[in-house]
Amino acid sequence: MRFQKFSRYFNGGYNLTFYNALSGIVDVKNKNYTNFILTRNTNISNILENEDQTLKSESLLTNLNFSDNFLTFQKADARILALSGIYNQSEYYGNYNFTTNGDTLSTNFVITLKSDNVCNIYQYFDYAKYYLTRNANNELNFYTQNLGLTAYDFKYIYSRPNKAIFLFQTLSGIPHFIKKTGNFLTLSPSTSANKASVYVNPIYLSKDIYSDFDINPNTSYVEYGDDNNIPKNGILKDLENNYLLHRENDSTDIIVLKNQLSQYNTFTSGNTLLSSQELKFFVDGMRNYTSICNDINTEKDETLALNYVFYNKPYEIIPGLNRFTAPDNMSPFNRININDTKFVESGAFGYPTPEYADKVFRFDDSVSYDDGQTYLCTWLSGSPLGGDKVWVDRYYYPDLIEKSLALAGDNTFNLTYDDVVEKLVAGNTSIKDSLSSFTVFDKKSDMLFVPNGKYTYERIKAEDTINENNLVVVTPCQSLATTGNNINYFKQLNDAGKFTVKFYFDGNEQNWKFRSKRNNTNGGLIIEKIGGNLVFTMDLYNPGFVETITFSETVKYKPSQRNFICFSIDTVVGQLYFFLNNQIVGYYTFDKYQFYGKQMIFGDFVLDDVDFFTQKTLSKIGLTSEYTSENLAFITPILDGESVIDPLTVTLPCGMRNSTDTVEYLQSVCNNQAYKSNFVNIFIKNIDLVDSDMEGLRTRITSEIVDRSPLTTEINNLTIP
Amino acid sequence: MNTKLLSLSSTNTSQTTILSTVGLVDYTLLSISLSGVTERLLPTHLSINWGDGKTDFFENDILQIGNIVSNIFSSILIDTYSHEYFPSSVSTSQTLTATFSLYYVNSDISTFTLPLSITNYDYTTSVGDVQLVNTNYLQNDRKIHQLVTDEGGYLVELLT
Repeated sequence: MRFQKFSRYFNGGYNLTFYNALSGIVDVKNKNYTNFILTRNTNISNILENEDQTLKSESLLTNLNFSDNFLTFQKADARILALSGIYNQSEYYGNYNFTTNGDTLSTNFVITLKSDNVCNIYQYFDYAKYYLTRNANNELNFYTQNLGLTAYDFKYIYSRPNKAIFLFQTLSGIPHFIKKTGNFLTLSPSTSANKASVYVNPIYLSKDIYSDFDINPNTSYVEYGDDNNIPKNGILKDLENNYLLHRENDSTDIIVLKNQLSQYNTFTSGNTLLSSQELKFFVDGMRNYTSICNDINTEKDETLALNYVFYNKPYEIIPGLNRFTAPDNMSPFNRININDTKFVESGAFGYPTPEYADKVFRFDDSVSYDDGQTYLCTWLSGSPLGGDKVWVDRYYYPDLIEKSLALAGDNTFNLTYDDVVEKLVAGNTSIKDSLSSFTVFDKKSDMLFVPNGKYTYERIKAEDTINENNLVVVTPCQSLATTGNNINYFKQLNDAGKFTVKFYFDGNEQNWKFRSKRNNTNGGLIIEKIGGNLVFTMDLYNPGFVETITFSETVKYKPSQRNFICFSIDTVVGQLYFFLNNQIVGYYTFDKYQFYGKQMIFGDFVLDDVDFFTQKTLSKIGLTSEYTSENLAFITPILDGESVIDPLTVTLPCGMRNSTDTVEYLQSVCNNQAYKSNFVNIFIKNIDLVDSDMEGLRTRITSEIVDRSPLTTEINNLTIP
Repeated sequence: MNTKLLSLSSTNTSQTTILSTVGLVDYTLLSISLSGVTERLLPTHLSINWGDGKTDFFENDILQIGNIVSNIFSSILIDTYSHEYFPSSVSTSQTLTATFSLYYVNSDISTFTLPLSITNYDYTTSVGDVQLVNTNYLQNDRKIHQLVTDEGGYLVELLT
């Protein structure tokens, strides 16, 4: 890396060198005989020299696409050549046509790119190169160079964004461009009057002539998806940072400072002062470094302290209850509505009901309510699987519903709240009047964060349990296998017309089959682990038509990790799904009520091998006679304590505040820091030199170290084994 | 940084144009527009020698349909090209020659030669006062003084 710089020469015969990195510097300090320089907040590409990032190919293997018709090479027909009077040298003649498949050997041509945008095109066939060439009749075809034709070079225009090329040859002083006319390549004049006809005849290539090398040195914020790939909009590029330059002797190294981190040294999309539809993340500008505040406390101290200012106070939210007090100053705001914060962007957890959603409570005795309703909480309405989320306030009627049920209840609008619903309600008197008949209702949140306000933030954690009322008392499968008792709980599930079964397994080498027992009837659920695959199969038997409808899916599980499976079916609505880890891997619908009142499964669930029970191959097997929503399936591992939701760092605006960052820097200057003596011993080891070279090294060190070491340092002894 | 914008024009595709000398003062961003250059025939590419050892090459994209301006199809006649010129490190002024070569599909070349004269700011304009922020004491009674300029806020070093 080289720093960008330039020099100015001045009258008087001297010049000064100006480094871009040293323009607008924030602070300069000395420590342990070395210089530390704090730069301005800028892109690193503004202070380092940039390398050329694009290379041009010398030749290219590509197809030539004329509006989905691919130029295809053919060997010339010797019989037709003979009819034309060509009896010898037929191997020098090629031919072409067009096909719709551009992925064959005969559709791939070599384009040789020369200087000044000149190229030629050939097909390598049967140990000979057949060039696209203009013949004496001004027709285009493929010939080897043995025939003595010379018009095989073309001028080209290249459109890189489209990977399209335009080919030209000059005839009688007039440039002509190649286009496809019927099944032939023809040359058409390109003049000022008809230049528009050129660009409507592009020849698309399958490869780009240029290659980019992304050596952009600027810092970027990168998001990785569940599949460990980077989504298209998952990168925030060209972030600005302060840099700490550390200069020692003739070398300078550079430390990129942590301008994108919160005060807690965490990344959070929580800069409340940024607001743009274009931005997906709000991580930039969380800090601005202002000074090197710790100069020389002691010579032994190797820590350098940097002062920075920040404008967003972070709060770490862990699963469970968190209490915090808002900043005493929220400049530039006097107060801020929860929907104007960056809690959602930072990772707040939404759910269709407040029971499992992130909830915020404000300690406030000053609020009064009308009509007997009581404010319950502010919660994040939305699906944990994606989509828009909005903070809403839940109200309930204590006379009509218990608080715990009010938390679990669907809201008035039966869907997650959004502005459309709010407008619908506000604009419709009958709906508005009927709201009083509901026991709970939500409205877009009025919650304000005010200076010094006290708040509680509740986040889903493992101790929360699924509503016990929904659980069917089920004897575990282990008992079925070991005792052989058939408890026949499957009848209860069939009566309900819906059920959910879930369990966990390790992604090891063990194969197993979890299934509902069956008689001769071909019906029921089978979940089988075979090698690296999981095979879900649900057979629904329809006795009326004596037929079986099969729903099946084969997927890969996570090897060497704990996996979660959920299967749920509702024959009233006519839907079922297979769920693996964090997503639905198969969702199916069938006619409503088609299987209601009929048997879904024909026996209780079993594992085929008794040994698997003792080895706890499957764990936390759960069964309910309810259909489980996709959202609930998603959070089940959290509720079961099998996975933990990440801690969250939310922020509130706090005016400008100061904090300190430290840099641990191991000094390489050889002074004796331990005993404050100016005499040092130097030991050199692990060096493999012949004696004569070793003596040269000793002489060199002895003579040069005087210029390299601090003024007060004296070399006491130099030992080279 | 100073800025300067120039516009080039031509009427035929094999024109050699020598422009009059353009004076630049100190650190300058020079921008060149070719919107007045003829598109009687389609250009293939543009080659620029900025005269200070830096060269650039631009392909002509005629498929930027959305960007067609005044019946101009060629991206290289629509875009603007910029380059930073630095003051001389060995004299108070320097003379350079930038060359813009536009290649056409019939092998014609239009060349624009642009002489440049770059004059350094004097000391007062480019540096102003300096403020001593640090001094490093070295062996043999040598010192490195670190100074910050009023103009541009640059840190410069002086060895004594």
